[in-house]
Amino acid sequence: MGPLVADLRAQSDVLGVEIVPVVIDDGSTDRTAAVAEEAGARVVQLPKNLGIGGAVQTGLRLAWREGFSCAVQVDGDGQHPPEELGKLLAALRETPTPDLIVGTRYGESRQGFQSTLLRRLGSGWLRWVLRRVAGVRSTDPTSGYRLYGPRALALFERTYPYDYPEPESLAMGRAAGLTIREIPVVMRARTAGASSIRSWRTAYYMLKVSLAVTLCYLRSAGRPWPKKM
Amino acid sequence: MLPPQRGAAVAEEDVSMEFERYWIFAACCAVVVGFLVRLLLRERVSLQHSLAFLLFMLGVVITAVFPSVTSRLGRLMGFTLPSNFFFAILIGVLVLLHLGTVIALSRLEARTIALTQELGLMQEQLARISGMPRFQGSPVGDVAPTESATVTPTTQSAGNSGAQAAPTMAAPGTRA
Repeated sequence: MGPLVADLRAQSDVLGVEIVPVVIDDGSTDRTAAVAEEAGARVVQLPKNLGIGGAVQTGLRLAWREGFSCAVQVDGDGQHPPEELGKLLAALRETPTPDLIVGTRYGESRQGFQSTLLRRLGSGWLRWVLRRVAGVRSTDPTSGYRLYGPRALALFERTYPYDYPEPESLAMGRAAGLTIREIPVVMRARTAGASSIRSWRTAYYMLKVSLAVTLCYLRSAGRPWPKKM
Repeated sequence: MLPPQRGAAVAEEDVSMEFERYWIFAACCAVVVGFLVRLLLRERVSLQHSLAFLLFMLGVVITAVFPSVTSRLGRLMGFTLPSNFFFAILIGVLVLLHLGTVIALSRLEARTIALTQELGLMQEQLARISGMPRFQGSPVGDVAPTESATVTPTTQSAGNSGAQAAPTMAAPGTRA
């Protein structure tokens, strides 16, 4: 955690933008919070464990309230190299300006950490569901390396999925009319911690996400959703 | 060979026989109601949320004590077997009760998550304004063991290009 925060802060000079690392501590029992604070991050410690979705939304709420122009979600386990931040930020200069920029590990280059067969199969199914049902073309729907623009912040500050949020939030964003852009980035194998997606829960995961994506589609087809956008 | 029309026979038995047969259900209901009342007295459940369930149990007790009423109602509604009528009603009411619980639970979960996020954000703000060190290098283990099953430290880095300044935030240099 310490090197990650330091690397993120170092990117501030490289990219010429102000970067404020914020660590959401979702009930860690180790010294994560102390280490992160020592490294110069703002640490939001959640008094009770909320799971990934609730933790990510906490960060988005913070960014939204304090008027940050955008927020970047980075996994705390070292999967997402801060050196790739520039690629995500560069996509902001495109027209139309994307609202949600997702770093994909399945770019043309196919460098760095790929994935196991099982995860690739699951990922394939998710890609299919997202494309057919939600109309989102995503090569890496479970990617948690993503940049949220102001419109995405406004949406997800209000409503964000609680468990296995990444693919579902893509569908939500699409339903709300966000422009979603994918940028190939190099990812690393996680240096610490374990994936929150365990194999024995894969069936639940797939079912839940598929249904959630369908619900997003139904919501957007039915009435204007979300109400205030 | 199938047994010939047992349903019709049951429906025509007299009231006293039926009571003999069903008193055990009434006893079971009484035990459940007793347990619920105990929970209510100890304030483990609120009357507001258990009222529907209490009324439901009362209905079940009535049908168990007066089965003739049930069979007559069932026949009126086109059920051959009173037990079928009983189960159909039972399942229907239970589904509704469960649906109500799921709705309440989902609302509660959304509120809990929002409040927890709010609390975390405010604690961070407070610590920055007051300038007090929070973690002091000690293990940050003030979370109950049951809560720490899934440890998901998510890093959030917000890049501020200076479009809007944070309104009431402490200056970046005040961190301890």
